[in-house]
Amino acid sequence: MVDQKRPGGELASRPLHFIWLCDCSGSMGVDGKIQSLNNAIREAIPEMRETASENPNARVLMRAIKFSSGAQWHISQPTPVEEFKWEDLSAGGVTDMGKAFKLLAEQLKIPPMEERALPPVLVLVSDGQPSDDYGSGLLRLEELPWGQKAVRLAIAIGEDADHEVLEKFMGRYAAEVGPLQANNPGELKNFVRWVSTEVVKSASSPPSEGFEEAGDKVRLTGNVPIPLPPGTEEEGPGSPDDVW
Amino acid sequence: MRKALQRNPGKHKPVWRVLGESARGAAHARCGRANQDAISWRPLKNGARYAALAVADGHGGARYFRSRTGAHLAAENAVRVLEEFRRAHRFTAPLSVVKNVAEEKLPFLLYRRWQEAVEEHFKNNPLSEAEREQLPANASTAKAAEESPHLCYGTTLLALLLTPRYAVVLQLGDGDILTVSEKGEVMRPLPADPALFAEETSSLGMPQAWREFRVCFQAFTGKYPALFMVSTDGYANSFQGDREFLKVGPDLFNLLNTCGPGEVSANLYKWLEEASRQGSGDDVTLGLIYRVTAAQQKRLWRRL
Repeated sequence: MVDQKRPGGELASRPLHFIWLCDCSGSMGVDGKIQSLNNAIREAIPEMRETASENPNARVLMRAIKFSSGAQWHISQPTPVEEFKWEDLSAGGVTDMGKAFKLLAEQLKIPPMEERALPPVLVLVSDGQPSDDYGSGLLRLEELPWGQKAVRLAIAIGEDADHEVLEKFMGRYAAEVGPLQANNPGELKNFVRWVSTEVVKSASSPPSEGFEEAGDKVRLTGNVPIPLPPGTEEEGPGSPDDVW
Repeated sequence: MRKALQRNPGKHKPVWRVLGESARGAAHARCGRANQDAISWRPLKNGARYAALAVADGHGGARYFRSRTGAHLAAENAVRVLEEFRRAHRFTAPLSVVKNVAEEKLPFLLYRRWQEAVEEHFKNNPLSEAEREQLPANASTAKAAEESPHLCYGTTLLALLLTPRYAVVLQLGDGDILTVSEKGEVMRPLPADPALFAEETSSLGMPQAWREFRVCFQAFTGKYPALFMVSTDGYANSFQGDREFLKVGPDLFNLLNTCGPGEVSANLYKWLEEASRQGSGDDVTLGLIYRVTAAQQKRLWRRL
């Protein structure tokens, strides 16, 4: 047998887009919330890199949106997790969550999103209530195929976070895990680590993993199975460590 | 016949030849899981006036714990159904009648034959304790599997029948079917299904799955495609984009012409394995039906 040149063009692992949506409103500056978020995301990066390296068939690409009075890309270029560095966010302004959803929706269209990508992971972190029309932004997101298929998770910081809004953002994932309630820096760190590792691991699984029936339709949906989040086994009165 | 072919082989009916391969996905190899794709074809060797090819991709996930068997049953039974169809309509004229029967009956025949095969397999191989333990932690899952086992064997199915007069192309679920012309032009005979997105797929395991088949009947009027290519979605997903994937068709056509089918066949597994390793990590299966050229026909008949 003579070794022949492989047919076809360039091969590539499948992109897995991971996007943080971070609330940077003025209230995030109270009790060190924004700095705790900065620390948690920065500290999770090495473990996230390790998780990503375990699956060479998925290429984890990081981005971040910040929203307060308006919304903008904090890290706009899809950055391979191996090169990803977290730049500190600062707090100030209102909570224009809807604008963040609209900004995100622009980038989830095909193109620029690749049709062959793995379902993107979108993580919303917020401590309050939206100050704009978040519904229209969410609708724009949900109209897109990748908006519908994305793994949408939310972390609620403190007791003032609007769980109803976060649940709406999460869509079908709300029933599975619900918004993750962080009442202190330790819990926030655990949740950020969990989405950066366990969820990334699950989302980067080989295709056709975790199928479910889609009602009575003759079709199976490729929903990403969500692992059990940390600290969800027990519910009770707040811990003495709770500061938010 | 032999003399006529040697005199002017180009003027005669086409001779089709099939080859294919299936490689376990790199991700499946890492976690010790078997290849859940399957492929089957006829005739097994040499060329013939007809060819049938089927490729199936068994679903992943704990719920579909017999999808590997399901994929094999789908591919093998599809080839049998297509051969029966070809024999039954060998002398049917006009082609519009064959077209109607193919479009209206074949999806149901493929579905029903697979269902019967699954039911027989399940009857002979009831749920084992090991399988029960592997099922998702949900008591209703085992009961549902026993009451309606088809879903546990869930798979896609892509099938192709070629005769001197026509081609029938059938697809349920994701995957790719391409044709390549003598000039290297690539076409998709079936329309895209926008619902098949982000791992969403139709499945033979779902009720009334025959309604979800996409079917194309192509009557040949003197011109024949040079190559038909059928692959599971793990192959296309291993390329940087659609353009890079579509290049496989003309590249294979050139390789078949320049190096011959023996070399292509000998290299095929290695190519598919490499695609999975550097690409999607999924199982990758590729089947080809190519039209034997006049020169190849001459060589073929000389050997007979």
